Amino acid sequence: MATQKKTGNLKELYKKLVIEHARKPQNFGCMELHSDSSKGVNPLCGDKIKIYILQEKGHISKISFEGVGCAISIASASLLTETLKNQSVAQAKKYAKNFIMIMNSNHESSENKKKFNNRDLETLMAVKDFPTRIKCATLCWQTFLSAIEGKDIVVTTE
Amino acid sequence: MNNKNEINQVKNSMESFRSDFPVIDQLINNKKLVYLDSAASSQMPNQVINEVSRYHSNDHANVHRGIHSLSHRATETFENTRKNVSEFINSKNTNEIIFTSGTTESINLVAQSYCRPRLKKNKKILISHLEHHSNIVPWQIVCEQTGGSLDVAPINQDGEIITEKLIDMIDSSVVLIAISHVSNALGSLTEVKNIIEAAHSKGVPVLIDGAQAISHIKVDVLDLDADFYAFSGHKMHAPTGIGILYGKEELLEAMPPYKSGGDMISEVTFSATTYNDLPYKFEAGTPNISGVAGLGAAINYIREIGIDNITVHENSLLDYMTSELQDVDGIRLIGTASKKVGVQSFLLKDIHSHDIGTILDHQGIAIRTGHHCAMPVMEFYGISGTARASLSIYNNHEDIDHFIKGLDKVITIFN
Ligand SMILES: Cc1ncc(COP(=O)(O)O)c(C=O)c1O
Repeated sequence: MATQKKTGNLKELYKKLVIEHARKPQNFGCMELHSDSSKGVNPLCGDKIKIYILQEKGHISKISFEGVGCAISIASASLLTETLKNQSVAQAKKYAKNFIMIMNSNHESSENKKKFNNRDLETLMAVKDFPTRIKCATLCWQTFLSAIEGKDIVVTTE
Repeated sequence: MNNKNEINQVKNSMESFRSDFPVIDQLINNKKLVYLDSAASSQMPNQVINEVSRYHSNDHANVHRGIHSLSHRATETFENTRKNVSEFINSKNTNEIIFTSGTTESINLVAQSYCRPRLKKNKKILISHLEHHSNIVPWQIVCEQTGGSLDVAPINQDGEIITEKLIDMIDSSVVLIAISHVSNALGSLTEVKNIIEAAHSKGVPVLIDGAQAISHIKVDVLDLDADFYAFSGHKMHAPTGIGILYGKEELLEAMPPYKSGGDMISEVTFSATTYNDLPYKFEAGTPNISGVAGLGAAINYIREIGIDNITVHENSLLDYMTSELQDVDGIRLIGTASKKVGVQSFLLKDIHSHDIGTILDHQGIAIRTGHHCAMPVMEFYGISGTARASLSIYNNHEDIDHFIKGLDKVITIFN
């Protein structure tokens, strides 16, 4: 009889913080006044997200998102907006690239964890133990990068 | 549908079949696997796995090409299965059975070979609102190629095609009607026989997408008088990459080849090529011979159990699952047709189906989540997706009890 090694811990994946952000996402909604925006979709599951950014003097003065998705994708987007608000554009880009890289890297080293330098974001590290859900967590970050880099494309996970 | 004794008898005998499926007997996350995703792909019994292996170990060679013994044996396996399929769905002739890679290719074949020459401006294909993407997109493409249009018959809140409305939409501008026998997202059983009869009275042929019907209910293409019937091996306990297109001989005869190459010709010169006879005209290239061997074994397996016994078993499980689901706090059933086959879609509170899927998987329970390749159905209900549990021969009451208990955990985590 085939067996399989145990995968990630559910309690870690669905920490209270994640559920709270999924239930009551921060900075949720359309922002009419924005300098950049971008759409992202996951064609496999139908999740959709749109990110709005208002840049002022090289900083992200406002950021919001709207869309439909699972708890992981909504919580990730909500945390994204909290993390990147008031950051310099350069810093925010670095954050996003780093997040995507860490999520997709195979070995999780404690070094990587530290790089987040953000305890809230670190709760999402548990997603790495659920390989089918990594795209849920990264879609909004990819969409953010596309918006801030002014790419006129719909980001897709596939 | 049947009396209690009969159901119990079937139930007892079905338990013994479960052990034929090695995949089912494993731990996922240290829990016994509960496989409720057969509508996406069903599992294979040892009889099928062994036949595929036997074919590879003993008989493998190319078909229709060699004079040597192995080629002869491979060809025999291949053609015997064609006969087997023909008997299984009761087609008049064996040459009406075409091997394809699956339902998707079968539908594409009909779109390009039957519809493309006939479609033009003011001509239509008629489908329904509950179709799988593979019974939508091939028609959209052929409409784009020809200037034809796609008409969509409505469904009701229970997720049933409204038969009268569909029939009202049939007129001489309709080149073909293409509808599923059973909806993959909702499980609804379509009144295909009535629809076919009405279509024929107006001279319109009908293609039935039978992907979700073939392993669950008796399919008799002669009795239905279907013009085309498409299905996939992997949804009837055979391997992936093999499927069937049944077509009436006179229709297939008049159709040009869909793909071209070896095996589909009778004579090739550089000035002209004569096509081979049916069914080879549609089977260019070396086919999936081991898949065909597996399909033959799967049909034998289903026949051994008896398709009617399978229907009784799955219906009684579906009734049980539906009534248990109804008692779950915050559940909303999607797809409540009066006649259904082994599928139940649902929403649970405001919890996204992916989260339900992950939490169930953690308990060893495999269900499908998302739009099920039927986005128009999701749009009809104003939702982005559902969680879906689907049943097969190897499922039992215990599976359903585990599944329902698993949903409690979903609720706990999200409270
Ligand atoms: C109703 C229906 N039609 C068509 C298909 C496509 O089948 P396949 O992917 O085997 O070609 C499916 C499979 O999901 C289905 O459920």
